[in-house]
Amino acid sequence: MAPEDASKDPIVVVEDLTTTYGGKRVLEGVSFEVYRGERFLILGESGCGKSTLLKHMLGLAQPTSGRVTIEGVDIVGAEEEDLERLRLRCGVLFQSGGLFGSMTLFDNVAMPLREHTDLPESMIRDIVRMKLGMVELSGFDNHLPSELSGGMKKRGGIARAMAMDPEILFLDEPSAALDPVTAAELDLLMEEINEGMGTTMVIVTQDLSSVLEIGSRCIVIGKKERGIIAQGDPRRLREEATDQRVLGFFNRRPPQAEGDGMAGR
Amino acid sequence: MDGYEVTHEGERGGEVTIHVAGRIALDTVGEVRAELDRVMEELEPSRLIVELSDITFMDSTGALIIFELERSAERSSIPVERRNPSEAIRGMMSLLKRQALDAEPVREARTDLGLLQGLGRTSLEVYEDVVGTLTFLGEFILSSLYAVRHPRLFRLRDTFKQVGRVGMEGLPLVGVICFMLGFVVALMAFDELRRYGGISVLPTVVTKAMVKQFGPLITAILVAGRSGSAFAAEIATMQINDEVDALRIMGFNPVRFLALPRVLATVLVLPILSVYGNLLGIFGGLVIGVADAGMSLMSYIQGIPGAVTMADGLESLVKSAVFGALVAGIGCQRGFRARRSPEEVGTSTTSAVVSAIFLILFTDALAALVVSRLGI
Repeated sequence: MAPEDASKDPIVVVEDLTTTYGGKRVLEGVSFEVYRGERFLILGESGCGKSTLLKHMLGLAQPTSGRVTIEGVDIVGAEEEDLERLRLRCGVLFQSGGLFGSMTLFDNVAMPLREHTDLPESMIRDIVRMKLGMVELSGFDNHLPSELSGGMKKRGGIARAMAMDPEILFLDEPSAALDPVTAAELDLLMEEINEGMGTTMVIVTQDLSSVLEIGSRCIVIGKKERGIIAQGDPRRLREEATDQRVLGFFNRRPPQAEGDGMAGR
Repeated sequence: MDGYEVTHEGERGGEVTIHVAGRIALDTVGEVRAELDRVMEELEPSRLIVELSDITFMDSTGALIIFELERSAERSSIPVERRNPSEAIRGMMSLLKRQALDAEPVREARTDLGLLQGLGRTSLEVYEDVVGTLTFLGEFILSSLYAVRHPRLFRLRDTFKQVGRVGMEGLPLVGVICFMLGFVVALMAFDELRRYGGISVLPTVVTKAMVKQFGPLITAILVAGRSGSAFAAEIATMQINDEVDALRIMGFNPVRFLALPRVLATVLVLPILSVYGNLLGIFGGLVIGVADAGMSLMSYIQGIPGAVTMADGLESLVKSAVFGALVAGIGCQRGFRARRSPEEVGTSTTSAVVSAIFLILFTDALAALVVSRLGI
């Protein structure tokens, strides 16, 4: 299950990240590392800032202070060339799939290849077909995203994110809005990609069964603390966490409700 | 029983027991409460016992009445005791939180702004809007300059696609409207000219009106409604679907990728559409000239070239190009400005059209002023 042989080699380093949104501090002093080859999860209650954290790790938002380093490159202050090279090594699956609605599935997956490489079209066609096959979407080349189901859109998004064989794959709530079976299939795909290609995965998720199935290490973000309230192996945290909220999260148990107290007085 | 019953025992000023019985639900609570209030007022108990054993049915509103009774008693420092609620009633009451009745809202209610404040807020919004638009303009200019220096980044195929699209979208609309416009102008002019025997001037009037003013203006407004709004809607929708973020992640500049082809295409197409519109307007006038004014085809056509100078024609084309930039630019900017919710697609579309029309008319007035001052 967990890739025990993942090297302790940090591929993503977040240092002292602080961000504000609309005048309010969302995250303060967040620091952690993602090791090469692992399946790293970012968890937390709704509104705790995990999607915001991911956006900062992707360079889609600027922190108020702190640093994000990917493969040794500080993405906040980096030169355009370094950023360009870095982008080729990262793939992203957005929550809604992020496929371009005006292009076919084939063109979507081919896009990074066409833009960033000089490969001939015939080679690109083979690569795209192979990626589509990898995510079990063979034959849907000429379908538009609007003609695909939710699960298929996500798999299409993964195919595009994997087009250039990135070293890191970032996924924003991959199981959101999926039925349990499709979500499980997606989990299996992520596991296969990680174990078969050694791709490091950074996954923001709320899907508990997914967390316990495929996560190797995780951090839990607390809304009140604006930072990390727990980290480690999710299965261990489920048994041994000391914070009630963390225990509640992993065991799908709401905090004890404070009742009216007037019942049967 | 389907009704309710409220009875009481006890003396005024002493311990009072109120029996609430029967059906205490939404349809009876009005009367029950009135009864309870009456009892409390008449007897002014020093201690209150609420007997619930004979309640046959109670819903949450019924429970609320009991809560209210208890609360008002407590406020008057009268000790209250609930007696013998059935299991169903106990279950219902434990579900409801009495504290919720007194829970103050975290945030104040939004009051309607007075006229002055409303005016102030609108002014601020307009100011922010202007700033946002200028920012976009800056980004756009920078992206375009960058594309000029790195031609490989320039999306030629996309631009051609947009040229075809804006052209196709505009042809039927501009054709019909400009034809009708020329038609109406000729009709009205004919009415006046007839009196002074100046019918032969008709083609001149129509041509001048179309080329110098209406052609470029109306064409631009139509294209704003047809294509400018579409640009806003497309880009706003892409924001919602994370497509714009995906572009950024893949190393593309969204302004260069999405806005530049659309703006360039519109700048190229609008002058052509304006000329086409002008021609159709002149043709509309022709119909009136021949049918109503009894002019011959030749005499009408002969009146056209003398109506406008090369300078007029050039001015018309330049104005169209500028309008094109405005229409497409505002359309794209409104799309980028949209926040990620479906309603924003609608508001950005409307805003794109309204703002474009405003800018077009403003620029047109400015152009007229400049031209007259420069004596062109």
